[in-house]
Amino acid sequence: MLQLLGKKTLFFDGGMGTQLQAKGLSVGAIPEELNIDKPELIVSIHEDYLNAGADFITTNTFGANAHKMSRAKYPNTDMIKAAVENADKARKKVGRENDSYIALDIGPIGELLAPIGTLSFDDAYELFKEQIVCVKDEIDVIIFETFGDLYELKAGVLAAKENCDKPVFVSVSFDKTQRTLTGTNPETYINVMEGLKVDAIGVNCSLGPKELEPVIMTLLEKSHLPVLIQPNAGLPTLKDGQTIFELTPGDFIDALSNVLDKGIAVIGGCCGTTPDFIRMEKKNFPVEVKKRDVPYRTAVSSSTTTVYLDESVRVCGERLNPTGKKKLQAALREENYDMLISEAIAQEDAGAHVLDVNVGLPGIDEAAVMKKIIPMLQEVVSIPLQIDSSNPAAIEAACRVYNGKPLINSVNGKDAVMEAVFPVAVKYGGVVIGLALSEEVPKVCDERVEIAKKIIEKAKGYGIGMKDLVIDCLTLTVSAQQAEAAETLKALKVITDMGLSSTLGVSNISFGLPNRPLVNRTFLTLAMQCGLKMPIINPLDRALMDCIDAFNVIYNVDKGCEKYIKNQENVVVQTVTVAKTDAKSGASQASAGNVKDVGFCIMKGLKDEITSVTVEELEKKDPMVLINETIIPALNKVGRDYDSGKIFLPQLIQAAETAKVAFAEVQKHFTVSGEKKGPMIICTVEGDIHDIGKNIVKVVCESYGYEIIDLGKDVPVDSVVDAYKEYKPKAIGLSALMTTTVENMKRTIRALRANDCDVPILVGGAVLTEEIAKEIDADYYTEDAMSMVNLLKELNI
Amino acid sequence: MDNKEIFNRIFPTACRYMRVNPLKVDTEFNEKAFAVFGELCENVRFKGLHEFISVSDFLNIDVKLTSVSEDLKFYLEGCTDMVIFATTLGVDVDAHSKKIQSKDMGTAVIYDALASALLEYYTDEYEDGLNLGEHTFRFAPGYGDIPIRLNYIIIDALSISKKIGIFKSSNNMMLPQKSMITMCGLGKKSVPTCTHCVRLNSCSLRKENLRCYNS
Repeated sequence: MLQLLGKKTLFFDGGMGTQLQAKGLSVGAIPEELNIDKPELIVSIHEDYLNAGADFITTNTFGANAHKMSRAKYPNTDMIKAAVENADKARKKVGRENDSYIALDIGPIGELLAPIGTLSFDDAYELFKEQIVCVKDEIDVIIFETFGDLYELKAGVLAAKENCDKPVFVSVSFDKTQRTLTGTNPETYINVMEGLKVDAIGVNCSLGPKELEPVIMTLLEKSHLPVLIQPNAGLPTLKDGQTIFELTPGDFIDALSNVLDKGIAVIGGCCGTTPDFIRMEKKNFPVEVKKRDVPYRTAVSSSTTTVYLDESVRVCGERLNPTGKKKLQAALREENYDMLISEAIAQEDAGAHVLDVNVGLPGIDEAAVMKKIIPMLQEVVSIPLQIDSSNPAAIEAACRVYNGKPLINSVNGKDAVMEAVFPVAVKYGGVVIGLALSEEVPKVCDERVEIAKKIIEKAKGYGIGMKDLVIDCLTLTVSAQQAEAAETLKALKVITDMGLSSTLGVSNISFGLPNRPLVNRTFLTLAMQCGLKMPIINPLDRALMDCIDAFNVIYNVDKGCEKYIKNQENVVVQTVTVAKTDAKSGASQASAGNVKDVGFCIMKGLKDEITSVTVEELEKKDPMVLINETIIPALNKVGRDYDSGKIFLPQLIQAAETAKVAFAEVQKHFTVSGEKKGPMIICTVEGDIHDIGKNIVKVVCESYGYEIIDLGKDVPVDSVVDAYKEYKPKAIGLSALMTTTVENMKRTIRALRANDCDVPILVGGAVLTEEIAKEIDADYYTEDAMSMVNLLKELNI
Repeated sequence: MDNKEIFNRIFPTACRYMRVNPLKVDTEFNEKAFAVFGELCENVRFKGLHEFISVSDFLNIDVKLTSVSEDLKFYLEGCTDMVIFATTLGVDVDAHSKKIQSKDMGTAVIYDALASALLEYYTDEYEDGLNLGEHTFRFAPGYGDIPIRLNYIIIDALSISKKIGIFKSSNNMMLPQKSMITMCGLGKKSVPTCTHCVRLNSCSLRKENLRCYNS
């Protein structure tokens, strides 16, 4: 079949559900049960499609994963086996066992993967694996169809590739905005699936052929893989209480007229299509598939965004790297990832296009941390990540759970390094940074270029093309190796002329010199002039980012200077605004008799101003005095105002967050470390993914000086018990929003008690009441964050 | 209706979720909430679907679950047909909420409350657009004694995940978080009351003589 695929037009079958409903399948019935209960019905539907000219018959197994089939009367694997037997029977009956193919149909699991949902990537993988393994020798191809979540599809493709040697087709559903349910656009879908080396890529369901035309065109213009399409028979409409699809087979073909001869390799139908549709396709589609000439690009993707590294300059944010950052090192060791999350968001907001992620620290299990942190980062930023490690196991762990096409940083010219990393890049479809460095540090341009050529050659042996490589020409410190800076720039030029994309860690250049920003800016500008495509810099350094804006203006990349004007205008406007705001607020304060001190900032929740005001006051006041006479009284006033209804929850939180920033600033000035209260463990219980209430509690408690160990949401009972044993907290706070998860709260409390937990267990959440708290054996119920703080004070914690 | 008008319509409901008395809100808070609403609108991809179904088919969708609910029988009594709605603001709202929570919890609370209120508003609009004639009020699994597990069954039975992207998670929650599955009986008029609510005796709104269904 692979010999025909992409050369001769091949035909899938049409809708199965439509046929079953026409034959009386009732709402809520499980179609897969019919594989065993009414095999003759399924066989006859397959026969009809084969007789209509279908080359592929899709097994009646769309929802046959163990989760979805939990209500079915048969084990899911029995229904899958029966489905494949039915398909085989049908093709034998019509004498097409040698020229038709059985496609194992796999649909979405029906649950969203973590971090948005609760299903883990590994569990999804196992569910798909089970569906595949039980029939892997009896099928000809696996088709994953109607997927709306790229991450889930990746789990499926890996399960197929690692457990079966049959070709893999993928097909997703796009809505009218040309995005999947989880926001993936067609370009990103193509980039990620090509990386994973599926055999055909396609689109099905949700829309009719006309509405899908833009997506089909993108697939044809941007993908190098055979393109598969299975539209619905138009849009569904309601007639006499029944859902019907508007297009006849003739309308269907008419609607496809613009794409009919553009190189579609496989065509079938989805909801509402019947054997007559396939017959009509067979009659109207060209026999030969038109060849498409699609250029290769250097591109990395998150699940929603694709960044091209071969056009204008793209910034890689460098700040998620513990090297030389003590706070980040401590946070990583304590598994407190809030700081990384904030840094990631700040860099994206500042204009980074890609984020470098490095968690390498002596004594840390880098692979385990990568596996944890990558999904957390992808939950809050939408740009692609650069997996930065010298540990191949960590790179693999990160690439596996990464939702997109990753950028891998890096290999160098050493054979052993390339041999360890290239197979990972091949398997997960990454773009690899090749550092022009080998056993010796190269001095001149030619040496760098030679190493780059060696990397290119070696990559080729693994099937990695030049467009999946980015060369780092190696920035050396100009204060130590002055002559080499110019060689780096020369090498950049050569690499660019070779058609390769390039990267550099810019700030290394100025190490040891005074006024480093000046050298950094100058070097960056020169490097961009030599073709640098992805500087790795701190995007929060406005001066560096401004250099890029100016460069893009001069080289006509920023058409009409739009971005430049926008950014520079903002700078000017901001200055004026700040000055204005100061004057105005000063006047209002004066009239109100307020001074803009730390207390005022806390009460007003002026988070952006609190740091400078705190620093100013610390020049005049002892840190402890500031805490005891200003910060704590301000917080207490805020608490009282909240209790009496003078201020509201958002303002309470704003004040608490502001106080936290003030505390952090004051802590820098302690000669003796400030005593923290607690620690206290908090989490949202197993099965519950609503964590906004728990997060409010965290912020407010922290602002009162409590050390909070936040275990997160959907935390298994055992993990809470383990955390209790590990951290020896002074209290435990459990949150639940749903009636259904209160049961898990009860289980958690029971498990804690069984493990001799003797600290107070506090519970809260929308559904809880004093009575329920008693019923589930909690020690205390707190209605909101403030009452939690008051209770902790009462308990002397 | 422009954003400001929609905001003005939903703001009192959002205030209720934040335990804020809308009558006591100052201009500063109102303006901040409106700015947050703008951010919310950028992330909303509202999707809705409805299915007309006979009450008997619905009650047979999972007899074990539907037969235990007295409320379900009570609400649908006298109706032969009903309509099921599924509505969602989409996953981007959840994702952005998570991002705001990492930056600014105060804003996140406003965002979350506005999102809940906006979903209700859009669902009301969706329902109004169907011109259902006489019908009961909209209720949902989890309301009174109607098993929340019905969400799980309905999502599968009506292929809701595939059609508009509402998924079930463990414990029968729905994702995206700002999603609803609701239903109403046709041919009979009835209005909501507190009688069947699990929080009948502990509801803070009732103590203030307010009702969650009258914003």
